[in-house]
Amino acid sequence: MKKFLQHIIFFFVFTAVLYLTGLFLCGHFLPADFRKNLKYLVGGPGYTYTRLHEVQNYKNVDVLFLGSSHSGRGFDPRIFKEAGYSSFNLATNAQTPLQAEMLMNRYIDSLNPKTVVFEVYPYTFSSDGVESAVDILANDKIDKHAAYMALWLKNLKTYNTLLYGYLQKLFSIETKITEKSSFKLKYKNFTDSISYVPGGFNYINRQWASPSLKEQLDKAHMLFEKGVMANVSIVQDADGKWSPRSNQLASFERILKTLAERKIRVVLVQAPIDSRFYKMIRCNKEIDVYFSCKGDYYNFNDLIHFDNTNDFTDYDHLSEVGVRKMNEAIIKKLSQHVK
Amino acid sequence: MLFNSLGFFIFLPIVFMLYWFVANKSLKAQNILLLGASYFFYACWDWRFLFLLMFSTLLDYYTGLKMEEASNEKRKKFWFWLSIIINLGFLGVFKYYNFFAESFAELISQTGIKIDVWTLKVILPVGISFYTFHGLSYVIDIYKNRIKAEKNFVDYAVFVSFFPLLVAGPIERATHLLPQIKQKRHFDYTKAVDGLRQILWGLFKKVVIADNCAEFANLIFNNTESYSGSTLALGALFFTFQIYGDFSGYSDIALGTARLFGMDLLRNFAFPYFSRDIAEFWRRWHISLSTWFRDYLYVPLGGSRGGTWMRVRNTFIIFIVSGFWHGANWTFIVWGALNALYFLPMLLLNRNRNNLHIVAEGKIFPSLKELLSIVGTFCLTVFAWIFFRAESMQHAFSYIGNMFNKTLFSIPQFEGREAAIVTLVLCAFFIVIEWMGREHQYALASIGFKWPKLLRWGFYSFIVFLMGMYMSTSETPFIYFQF
Repeated sequence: MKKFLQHIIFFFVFTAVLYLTGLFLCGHFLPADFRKNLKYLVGGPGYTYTRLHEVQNYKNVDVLFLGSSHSGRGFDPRIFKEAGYSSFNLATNAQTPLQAEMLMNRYIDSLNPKTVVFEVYPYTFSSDGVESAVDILANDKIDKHAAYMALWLKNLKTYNTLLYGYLQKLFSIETKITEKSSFKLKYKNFTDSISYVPGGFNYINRQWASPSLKEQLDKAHMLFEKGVMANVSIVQDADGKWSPRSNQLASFERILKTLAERKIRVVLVQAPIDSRFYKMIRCNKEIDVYFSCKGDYYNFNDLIHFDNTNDFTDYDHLSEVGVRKMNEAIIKKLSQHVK
Repeated sequence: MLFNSLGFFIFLPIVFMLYWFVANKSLKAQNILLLGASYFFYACWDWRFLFLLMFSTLLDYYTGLKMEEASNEKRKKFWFWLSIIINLGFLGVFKYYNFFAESFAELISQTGIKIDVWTLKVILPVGISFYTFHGLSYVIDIYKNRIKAEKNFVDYAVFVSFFPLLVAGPIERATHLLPQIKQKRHFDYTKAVDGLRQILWGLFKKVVIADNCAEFANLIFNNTESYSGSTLALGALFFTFQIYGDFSGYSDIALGTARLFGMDLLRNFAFPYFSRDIAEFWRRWHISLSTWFRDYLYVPLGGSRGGTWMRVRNTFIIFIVSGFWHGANWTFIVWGALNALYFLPMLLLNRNRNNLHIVAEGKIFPSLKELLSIVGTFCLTVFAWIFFRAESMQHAFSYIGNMFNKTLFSIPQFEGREAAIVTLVLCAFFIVIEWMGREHQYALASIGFKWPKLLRWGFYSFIVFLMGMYMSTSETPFIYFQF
């Protein structure tokens, strides 16, 4: 038995060394599509790298935005500046409360915001948060906040990305990059031109293959994007009840508690989505009741009318026109409290 | 608790340590520990159904004793049938009631009369088909005077609910497992290491092969109308690897885990996809179920005695019942019947026992004839799995209809083709290792035995690395849990 236990321990150590070596080599030499559980992509159309490096230059802002791409593509600091507010948009793609909490803990002291606008897309409360976690791990520093978040997620993808990030740091080969000033992503029916606006805003201009195509799709009531049904089924269970993850709710509560302790005002915002998609979610009332109890809450799906054709670039992201509409409405709400 | 969950990897070492360090002085203590651990393992899924398992165990234990005590044949028969009826009754209610009720209503509706049938809204207790079959074989063996009734309840309860085999087999026989439970076990280094190796290979099959193939099989089977014939054929191929990786992976983990506790379970798979004909495939696929049906259904029905008609009838019966055992759906019945049809020519030509030895034994490559036979049998199997995987008969026919058209020869088109290529490469690695190890109990049993230790360990570590890099990151249940 003694020999058996000894060999098991030796084998674990041996395997750990080989595993780390393999991880390092795969991360360096294998194309991203061929390493399923190691998603270490530095830089990209989400502009996480630029945003998380730019934030280090910001201090004492009036408004801090947290949230998913709905926030990153929904709150334009230029519009807020016009109204006299300094702001920074700390959103990242698919950011869930777990990542928002980590970023908040990391940057709250330096940003020292008067108000936090927290975009609460229900999908992010039901998501595991892995996609956003690996994005942040690859594009920001690896520290105790990052390690805590990665371990909390209990997912091999985040463990591998965290380990790989550590190895990069250990061998001082952290990737320093300059993200492209704009990305052009070509899809079957359209092309997206994505650029970064200082202050954390992602600007997207979508050009359709033919001018009438979007109208045709809209007339056919087709929510053409991938994942619409998947998003709906994650947000609600088979009976139509909201199904958030307990760890996301717990993280959300901790964020609110921290902000309350620091006497920072919190505004919870649900950014609008295509009304046809919104109607597919049967638990909207339940979600509204929950968030209303947590503080100032504005659900823009109900608050003002957004046109599915002109105010959106896709089924859940606002166009330039839609962004201005929502931002001006929020500025009105904020004006009584900030300044 | 799933074998591929974090919970199991905490549970297993704890039970292992307690078993060999605390309870090792007494056989009774070891068996009580195994029983407690097994009930805990089962309760982690749903503690309410633990009572059903306990009741089933008590029933068969008690009727076994009563049959042995019976003073005459009539009383013995009474206890025997009581056990059979209650066991099959539970199985019928939980697993088949809704199927029969809905099929009846559908049949009646053909005559224009609409009836509302009362259906049960209950979840299927995990492992019910497996532990019921354990109990049935025990009761039948006592009735046929093949074994004596077990007097020690704990020993009998461990036989029924030993956690490695509790939820998805192998379906054990009292003649094989009970003597091991009653015998003092001593720690055997070689056996324990072999067990760990088999667990490693089983995990690889499940989390790398089965779960990755499942992603594409599900995508393609759930969107039958949208894909070309070649994509649908690829979907069937992915499911073929998924079901094998999933179930044989489970069996490997079960056998390996049992070895850690000094016990040997019945072998369940013997490289079935290298079979040269369907008869050989069925000698190598889910062996414990096939032999169960052979011994407790086929032989009592007359087996291969009697005329050709009798043999054909019995063959169809066991294949169809075997299909129905998998689930209450016509797709499983048709899958069983289709396999019986595949089997029929060999039965009629008396060629069903042609390939009893291991293919290309002692050689690296098979002969061309062997290769063609393997590929042919494999294609028949892939086709049959379409029925097994389909949601309904309509789905199966639409899948096959869309598959066999001119697009069968086009290039498959679906989302995530790069990831699918990686999965196919992993499947190729898997096939090579399985081929290399086909003369042994499981693929990894002998590979690297003559290599230096570091190289051998490096190979095992490489498998761990592949798991870390390519395993599915969600805990996916084993397919056979639903049966």
